[in-house]
Amino acid sequence: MTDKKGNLPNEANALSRAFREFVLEADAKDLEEAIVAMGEDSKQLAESSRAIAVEALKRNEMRVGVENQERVEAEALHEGLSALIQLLRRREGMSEEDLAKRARVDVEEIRRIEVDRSYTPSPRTIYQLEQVFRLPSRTLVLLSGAKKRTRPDFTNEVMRFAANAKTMGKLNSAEMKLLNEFVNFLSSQERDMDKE
Amino acid sequence: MSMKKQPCSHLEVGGGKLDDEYASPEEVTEAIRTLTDADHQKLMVIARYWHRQRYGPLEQRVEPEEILFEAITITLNCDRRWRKEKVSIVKHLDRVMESLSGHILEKRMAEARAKDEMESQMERTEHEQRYLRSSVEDQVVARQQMEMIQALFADDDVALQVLCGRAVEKTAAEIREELGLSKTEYATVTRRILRAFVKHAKIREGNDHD
Repeated sequence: MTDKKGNLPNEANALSRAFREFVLEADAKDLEEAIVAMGEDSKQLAESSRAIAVEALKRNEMRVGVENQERVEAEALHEGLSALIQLLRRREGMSEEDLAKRARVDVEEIRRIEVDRSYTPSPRTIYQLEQVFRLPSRTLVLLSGAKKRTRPDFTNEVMRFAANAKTMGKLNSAEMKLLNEFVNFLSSQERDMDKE
Repeated sequence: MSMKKQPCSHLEVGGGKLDDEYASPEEVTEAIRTLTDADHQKLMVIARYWHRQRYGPLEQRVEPEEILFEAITITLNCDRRWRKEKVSIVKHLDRVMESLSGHILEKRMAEARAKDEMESQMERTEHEQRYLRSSVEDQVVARQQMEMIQALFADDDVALQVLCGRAVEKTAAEIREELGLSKTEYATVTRRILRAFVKHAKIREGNDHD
């Protein structure tokens, strides 16, 4: 068996495909008659496939929803971390370079933490920053995404903080209050999770 | 904060013609949602066909529902992209099932063998041997398919000739002329082929014979 061009096709696969084409191209009436001729209920057959499609669609929706939710939360936490580090740095009157030097981390990492919402700092950097800013232990861990267990309202609180934080100049009294309240909030979250 | 992720964002293809060729996730979802009864019947019949076509112990064959579910799922999450301009969604799913039915079987057989796997020079040779075995298996499967089809039409030479003509991409007009068939006669033959397919696909395990 050769095709019009005289080449040798993969006979078996070509034959199988041609066979299936008769189903794929069949009009609805012929297909229905063929199914009924085999003693089958054509509606039932369609329903079996439809049920499978519905289940696949439902699971896909759930998967997409979960992925979106996780991404939203991760980015919110990063934004909170970024805002917090900037405020803490400004509270201490430090430049990014000063902070990098004191924390003994690369200045590029400090910059990335402050501007890149998708960036996840290393555990060592998190620890060093907590030391430099004299924060309670593991306060920043919650914002780094390294720890998954958080309360349902945690992300909302982080987003609220990040939205209210300002980034220019020395901290005013309102920003200082905001900062202190947020640090206390993070500390209390960590303490509460330890008790659970 | 508006950051709804597009479900197939792992496919960051640049804009232009390449993008237009493939369906977006929304288009795939819509196409699946709007499949007609006839489309669903075709999919179920095709899925049954693939259930029967993969050789191996019956207990290792994949259920038709499983093949169809997997084909729809991986199309929805863009692991197999649908070229909407070139093929219908039903034909696309047929191709995916064709690919899947072999992979699922191979995976199950590999899982059964995997208990003894260790990394070593000898194992790499074993991996090469498995690769060769799978190539041989593909050949065996392909041969089985051809023999099955030929056996189905052992008493219907005209149908077989029509089928062979389509296999080498001849048009209906060319086949009719070659075989001396009128349009009506050709339509009758195509209906016989269709019935043979549906009948063949219907036979399930336990009654695994033609």
